[in-house]
Amino acid sequence: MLKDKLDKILLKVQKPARYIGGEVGSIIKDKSAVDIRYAFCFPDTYDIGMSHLGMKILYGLKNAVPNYWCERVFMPLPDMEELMRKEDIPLYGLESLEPIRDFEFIGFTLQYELCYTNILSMLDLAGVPIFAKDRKDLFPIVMAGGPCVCNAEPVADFFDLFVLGEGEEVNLELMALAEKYKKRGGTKADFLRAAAQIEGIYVPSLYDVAYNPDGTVKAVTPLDNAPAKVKKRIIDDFDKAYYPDTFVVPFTEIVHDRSVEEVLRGCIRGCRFCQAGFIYRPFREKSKQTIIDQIKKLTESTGYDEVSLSSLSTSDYSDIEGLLCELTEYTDKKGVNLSLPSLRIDKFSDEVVQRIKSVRASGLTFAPEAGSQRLRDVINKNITEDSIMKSCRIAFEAGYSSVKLYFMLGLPTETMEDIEAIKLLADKITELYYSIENRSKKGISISVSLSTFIPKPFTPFEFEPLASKQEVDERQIHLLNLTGAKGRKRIDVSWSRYETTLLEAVLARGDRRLSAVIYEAWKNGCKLDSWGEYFKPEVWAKAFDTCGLDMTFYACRKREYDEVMPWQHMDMLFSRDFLISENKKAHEGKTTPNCREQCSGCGLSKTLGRPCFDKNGLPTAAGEGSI
Amino acid sequence: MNAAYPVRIFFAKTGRAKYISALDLINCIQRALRRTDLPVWHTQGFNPHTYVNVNLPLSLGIEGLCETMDIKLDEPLPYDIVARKLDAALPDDIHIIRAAAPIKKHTEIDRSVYEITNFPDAKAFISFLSLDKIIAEKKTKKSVIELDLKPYISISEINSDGFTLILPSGCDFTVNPSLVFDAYEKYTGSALDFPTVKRVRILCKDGTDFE
Repeated sequence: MLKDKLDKILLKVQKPARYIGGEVGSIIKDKSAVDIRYAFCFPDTYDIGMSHLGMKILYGLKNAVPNYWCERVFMPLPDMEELMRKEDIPLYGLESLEPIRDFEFIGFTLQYELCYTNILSMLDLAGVPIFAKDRKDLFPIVMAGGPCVCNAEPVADFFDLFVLGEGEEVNLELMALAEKYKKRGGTKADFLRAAAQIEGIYVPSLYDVAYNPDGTVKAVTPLDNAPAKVKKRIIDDFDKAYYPDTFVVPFTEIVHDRSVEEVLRGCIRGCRFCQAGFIYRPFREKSKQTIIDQIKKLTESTGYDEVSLSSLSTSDYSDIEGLLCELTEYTDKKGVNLSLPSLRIDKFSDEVVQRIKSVRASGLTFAPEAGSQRLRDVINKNITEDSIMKSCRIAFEAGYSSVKLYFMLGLPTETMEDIEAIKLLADKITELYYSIENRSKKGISISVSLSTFIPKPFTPFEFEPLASKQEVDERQIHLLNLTGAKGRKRIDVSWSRYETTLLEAVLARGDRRLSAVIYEAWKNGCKLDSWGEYFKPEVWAKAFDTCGLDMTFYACRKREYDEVMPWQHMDMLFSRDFLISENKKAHEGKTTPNCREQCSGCGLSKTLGRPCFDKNGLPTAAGEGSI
Repeated sequence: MNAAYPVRIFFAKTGRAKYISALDLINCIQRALRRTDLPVWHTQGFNPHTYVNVNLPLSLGIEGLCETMDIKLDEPLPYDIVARKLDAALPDDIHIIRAAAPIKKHTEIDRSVYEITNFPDAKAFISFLSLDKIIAEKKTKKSVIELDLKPYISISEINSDGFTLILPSGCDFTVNPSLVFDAYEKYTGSALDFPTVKRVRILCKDGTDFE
């Protein structure tokens, strides 16, 4: 039993509760009555992975099937990993405490590129061969889902298959197929060929990639009847989509320790840098009643005293005022905190503002992303200085005294003037603060957080180069020179590390040849790359050298409109022509209206077979109307 | 302000739950109480929260068979109902034994009785106890002090697999089993491979059980 072995090591590690399971809401099944076991692996630590909503949804969904058992698996921190290796404890599921190498599925979620080496660590700890080609048996099937699957090429060599798009339906279809194969037998190759016929399943070994002499992709050719394009799955009737009644409630504190209600999926905004805004299309929302019912169930079953509304832009919920009014009635009565991340308060009536004020405030945050209106038009970030000022006024009058502003450096067409505009905006907010009579007694605190823009696949900026280190440095220094401490008008500036940005940029738009680099880097000690203290840029640089590949080729090169992208065989249900036209408009400084105002013809409504919104600006539901 | 009805809850914390820290345990109980429909009393003031007081926190890694905590209710309820409802809302490895009116004050707690099993060499432990002095480094809130544990350790029911250990515990002064085992490891010069430690009784100054 692994439990006995674990008892010998757990008191030697930090926060052992994250390695032992047993939480309320965790599902224990009688394994003799289970046919398919699924290890849901989050390639980061418990504290981070347990905060992830997608895992909670798919965990509940799979376990709702009586003969399927889904368990949770996370990346152990180095102190735990070292002891596991020393005591010969293979990676195990937190529910059964049994080795996941004996499960039918080992499934990862790819939430960010910098977790890729963790996947290798976890497979190795599980005692499973890292490369798909070395796993000859039918089971375990090593798979992955999540946003990074829109370009899974850099990790293609490690996985048997990927799930493209939303997982609620396709995961169950896949598990049903595995159940069939388990009963009647068959080879892994047979299984993968059959799986490739399910919409939304991408089997990388069934595609041959050819390269041009300059290193760009020449062609991607499907083999064995695999579809030329893998179509992303979406849940059409989002209101009826599976949503868990309860969460696993951790014993130890995690990053987001609260109930979460997903109110809508997709985004109408079309910000040109934002991958999520494109790959989660179309915009769909749950009805008010569904949201309130689900929140009640979750609150009562978890005992959490905080619930947060989750989406890409909660302000875009059709009846946000109505929702908040009804919701605060419930949460006030129950003594539950309502947390509303990234809500735009400028367009609310006073009544709603008063109501939200009773909600304990976490702080005032804006993401203008660019300092000048010109550059905000280029990236189609439709937030104006007026709306920022209006929101700030409301907040300052309500007693707020600190503002967080998020910006990106290295955006296409950016000049030093745009950088200076960041400082000007911070100054205007400061002036506004001190002009308000009934402001807080505290001095204003403004923090400016700078990240570097990373071009991502399936955005209009997928053609753009990543800014060079020199360019980013110059702009950072310029801003720092402008904002230097000046009496009470202190602006606190923080920024990201370029090496991390560069690696993320490479992995985001890389091709299959990067699997060898990731393996090489991991073999030489890279893991937990998103954690500053563990990141080893020099080892990565060496791995690229060893494999004869150049980071700047992937990250800092402008790509032509007709270049074959490594992810060209993924179909995200909108057209490449749309991305090209958006890219052109960006360079002309022209904005695109949001999807509710006017359809821009990205191609999604063609797939849906109906417009995304009706005449009243309400999202259409499945089975409604047609074009 | 409403009258509050105090209830003392007796519970066992075993198995996987032994890895829940004392602080996390309170959080866990508060959430469990919110999962029930019990009329739980909240602290008054600007930031009200569910009142839970664990009378004698248990160190990480030790199982407890006689742990106690106090809660308060807004209205009186039969104790067996309180016990049953709270038990149903808790994880498997935290089990409510009973609920009752508090009889003693938690300041009366004087010592704990631990059952030690899976102990590799009980004989060596006896000879360790026959030392003139057993010096350990005890962390206090302010500093680390050197302390002779010898007068505080009593032991009984020795068998091949382990023994029963009685150590002081309470508001003023506590000696954790881990402190004794650390000193033992130093004495033998070899690592003790985490014996199983269970707290089986909590005793008051007059020698009676805390209840």
